Amino acid sequence: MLHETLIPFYECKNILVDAYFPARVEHIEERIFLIRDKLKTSYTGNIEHMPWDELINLFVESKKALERRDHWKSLTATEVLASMFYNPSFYISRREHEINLESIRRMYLLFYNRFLSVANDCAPKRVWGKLAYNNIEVYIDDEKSIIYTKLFKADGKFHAEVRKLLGIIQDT
Amino acid sequence: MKLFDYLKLIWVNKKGRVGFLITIFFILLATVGPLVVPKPDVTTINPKMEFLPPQLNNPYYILGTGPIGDSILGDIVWGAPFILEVSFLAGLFTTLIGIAVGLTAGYLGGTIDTVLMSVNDIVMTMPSLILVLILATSIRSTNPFILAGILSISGWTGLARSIRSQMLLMKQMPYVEVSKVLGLGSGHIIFREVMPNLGSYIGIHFIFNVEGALYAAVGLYFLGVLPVNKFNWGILINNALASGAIYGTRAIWYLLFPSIAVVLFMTGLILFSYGIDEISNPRLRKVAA
Repeated sequence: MLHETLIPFYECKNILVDAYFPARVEHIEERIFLIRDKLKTSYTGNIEHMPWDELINLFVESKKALERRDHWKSLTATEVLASMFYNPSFYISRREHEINLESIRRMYLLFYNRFLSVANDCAPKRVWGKLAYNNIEVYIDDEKSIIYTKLFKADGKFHAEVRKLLGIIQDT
Repeated sequence: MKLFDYLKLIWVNKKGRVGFLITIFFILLATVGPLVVPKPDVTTINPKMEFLPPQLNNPYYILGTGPIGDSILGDIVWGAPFILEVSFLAGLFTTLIGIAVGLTAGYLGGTIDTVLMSVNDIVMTMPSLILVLILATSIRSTNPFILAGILSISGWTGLARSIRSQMLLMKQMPYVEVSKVLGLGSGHIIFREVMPNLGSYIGIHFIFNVEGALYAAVGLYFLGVLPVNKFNWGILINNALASGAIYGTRAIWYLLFPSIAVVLFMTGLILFSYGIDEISNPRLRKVAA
């Protein structure tokens, strides 16, 4: 069964920004995934757009949270000794997880910086797009959205909001 | 970050600064040293010159003399280029192998990834010195490139794993759509954001490998596993011990100063790597800048 509704977006140059879900995600750093390219079909919906300034502030808040995040742990003497006398690879294998998190952080920050520089210099236009869910995947504008599906599966708050919006009572 | 900015950060960090200065000192010792300090070749052996303690009135013999009256300072200075050459080459080889294996496994995936990572895991569990000892006794070469190749046999594994993990991360992330909308290509993200992030870690990995290769190279010569090389810190230590230095004979200086050179260089590298590790922390980097 396909559940669908119209959700508000802002069109800013060639970027489409979700004007409903940014305030409804658990992992705020993932707000950047709520942008996409322009819609093919235009609709007029009932759900009001969140004010543009408020929306931008949410993105700024996410960026600041990322800037504050720090995964770094001090190097222990044991790590240094094992790296020198046992196997030099010991050090980097212990740091692997931290490196991955830092790479993701840098990538997200790059996206936020790029988006905010575009957003600060555009006149946003209000549009609506179709959000649909077929019990397996989430669709935007009749196309399967990898990002919305991922958020639906991984982000509890987003999951609950989508279900509430689409009027889905229980999992089928 | 530009190289000059990075050097500034290293300078601000106390450990990094001391380590950097010691490392530079040894690099200068190996490059400029042989131009300044005469080669300790002895044509006529004078028994009165054997195992002299430090001679403060003669700079050439300031660290004393060896078993044939050779200057210990000269031995250390003329032994430095080979040790540094082998150590830095081993560090370089290890880093390049790690990057190549990691990129290949992560990018190609599938069977190649499985095979490469299986080899990686087997090598990772092996203690490097034992592996190096077996290979060095079998090959017995004094060619610095071959020796560096032997010494870099096991150090690449962690780096390969980490680079592979970054490649997989990039493949799995749902960022493609967002990066396309924002006009950023995958190449830009991998080479301008992800790889520079690995820079510090690759640098530290390189230094640890130089350290490992240094102590392995000195150790192999000390153990007599490799063919005799006239100017080598390991052989100096071996000769000193053979002359009874450990029992407090006059050969003590011949044992002490080459050992200090090895320990000091390793300490410098350790402090340098500690310093780089500390400034790898984005928050500390921001504060220092």
